[in-house]
Amino acid sequence: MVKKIWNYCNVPKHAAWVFMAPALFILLVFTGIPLAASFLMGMSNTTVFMDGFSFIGFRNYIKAILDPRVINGLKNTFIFTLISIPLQIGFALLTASMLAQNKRIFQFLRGVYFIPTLCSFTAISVLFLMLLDKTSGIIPYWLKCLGFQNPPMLTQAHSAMAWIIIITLWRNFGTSMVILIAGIQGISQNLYEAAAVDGAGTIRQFFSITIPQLTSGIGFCVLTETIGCLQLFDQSYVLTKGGPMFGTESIVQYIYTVAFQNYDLGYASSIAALLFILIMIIVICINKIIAKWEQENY
Amino acid sequence: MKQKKAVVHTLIAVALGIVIVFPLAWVFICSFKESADILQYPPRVFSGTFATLKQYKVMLSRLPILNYAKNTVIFAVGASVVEILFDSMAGYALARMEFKGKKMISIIILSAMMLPFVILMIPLYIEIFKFGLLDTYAGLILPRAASAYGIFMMRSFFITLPKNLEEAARVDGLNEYGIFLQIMLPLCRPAMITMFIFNLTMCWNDLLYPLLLTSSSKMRTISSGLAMFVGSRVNEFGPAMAATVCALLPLLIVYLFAQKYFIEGIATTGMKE
Repeated sequence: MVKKIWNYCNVPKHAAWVFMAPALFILLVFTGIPLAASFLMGMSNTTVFMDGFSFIGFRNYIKAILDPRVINGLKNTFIFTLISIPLQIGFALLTASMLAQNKRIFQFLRGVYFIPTLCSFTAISVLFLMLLDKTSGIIPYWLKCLGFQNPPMLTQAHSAMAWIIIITLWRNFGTSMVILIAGIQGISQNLYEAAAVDGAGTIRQFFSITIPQLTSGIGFCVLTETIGCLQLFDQSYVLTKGGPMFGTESIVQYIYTVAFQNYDLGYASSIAALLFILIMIIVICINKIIAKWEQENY
Repeated sequence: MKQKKAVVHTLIAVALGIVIVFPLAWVFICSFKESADILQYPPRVFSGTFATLKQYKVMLSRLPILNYAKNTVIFAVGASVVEILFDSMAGYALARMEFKGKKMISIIILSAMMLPFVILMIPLYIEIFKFGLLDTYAGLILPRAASAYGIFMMRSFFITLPKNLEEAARVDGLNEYGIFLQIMLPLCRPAMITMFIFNLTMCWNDLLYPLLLTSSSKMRTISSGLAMFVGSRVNEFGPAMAATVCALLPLLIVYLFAQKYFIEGIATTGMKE
């Protein structure tokens, strides 16, 4: 009997399934089922106490669309994403082209620029809470020395959001930078030489060779960063707790609050499902734009 | 002229590097100061007495950081080790074996890579609760025991290995599992280290996930413990600085010795086409 099973499993096409079984099982249980369950849970009134539930149709979804804090969370998240992405990609492009040469010092600096990427958003948010502190923080003091009287730090919605964007930029640009450096190093030097012969300067070369040659790299960075930014949570959770007056509350933070402070898992699921649909629409649109852009450049 | 330009270029790059590291250097230096020196006005970076471990001692008495560190290591290392094993098995099958439904599984895994965590988090919480694994190591590790991302990374590695490896091994009388264990696994050691480090960083830094699946203070990881300790404002600067340093330093030390693998992990994810 054992021998029979062993012989069966030893056929290559059966062995393939044996190899995949553990990973597929984990993905099914902890990704597949939650994904399907999420939409159904959105139609129930499950609470965190799990004392039974009943289906209530689309009531949660309608409530979510009309909830001012959902709108507010989406607005904040979109503002954050729309400003963050161009800043991050731009800064990553700039630093990548600055450090792409294989000189010793640049290789070292690449390693240095990458350091913030290793830090948890929690720890650096705590760090910036202290750097930005009104009474003893060093950044407000420097701003004062530069002539800004009582610069608002985290106490006003706009400046708090600005700081969240700056901190995210500082923490995240290294990832895109490394990907873009790999891309830049893959560009043939002949292109630059030819352009130089034609009289194109450094800036012209950057816009007519480097950027068009990097389309797939830039596209990948935009896509992954967008999915990340739309799920903003850590930074705003630690830095501002969503305040002042919900001015920096992100949509994921609101979902977390609804689920674990108001104990309404059903309603939280419905908001999550709506956010998921929004993210998917955005991802598909970005994919389409990138595909079109790549076609134009080849 | 050209040389002058190169010097200016290098100087700008170095200056920017200093700006980038400044916040980290600042917290590191200040964590060794006396409380009075930390709070002095106007704030200074280099002043007062250094080399006092007072802040760390206070922090240790307030915050069970050693316990948090232990939890984080068990979670991060445990999840990474299991994940590498499962992901490389699945990646190997997808890269080098022929079977029915291969294309469909590849597509499913590719789309799972793009799945945002937010859609999974509440059902995942309920699942772990129903399994009775809430607030346990198993509950933290199991959902992370395989990832679409890792399967894809290992698949792209196995594809690059020479085509006739299996045939040569079969001639030598190895069966399918022998080929994987004795030929393939030793060859993918660099890819495994890259992935291990990639996962380690992710698990170490994650906030929402451990916040979701742990509820008691004794099961918190460093990120979630720190977030809880600080609340929305810092009242005690010194201990908070010391705790921040403790949360950051371990990964930075690993980075010092294995920089290549950190950067490789990121660079390979970008070249998925």
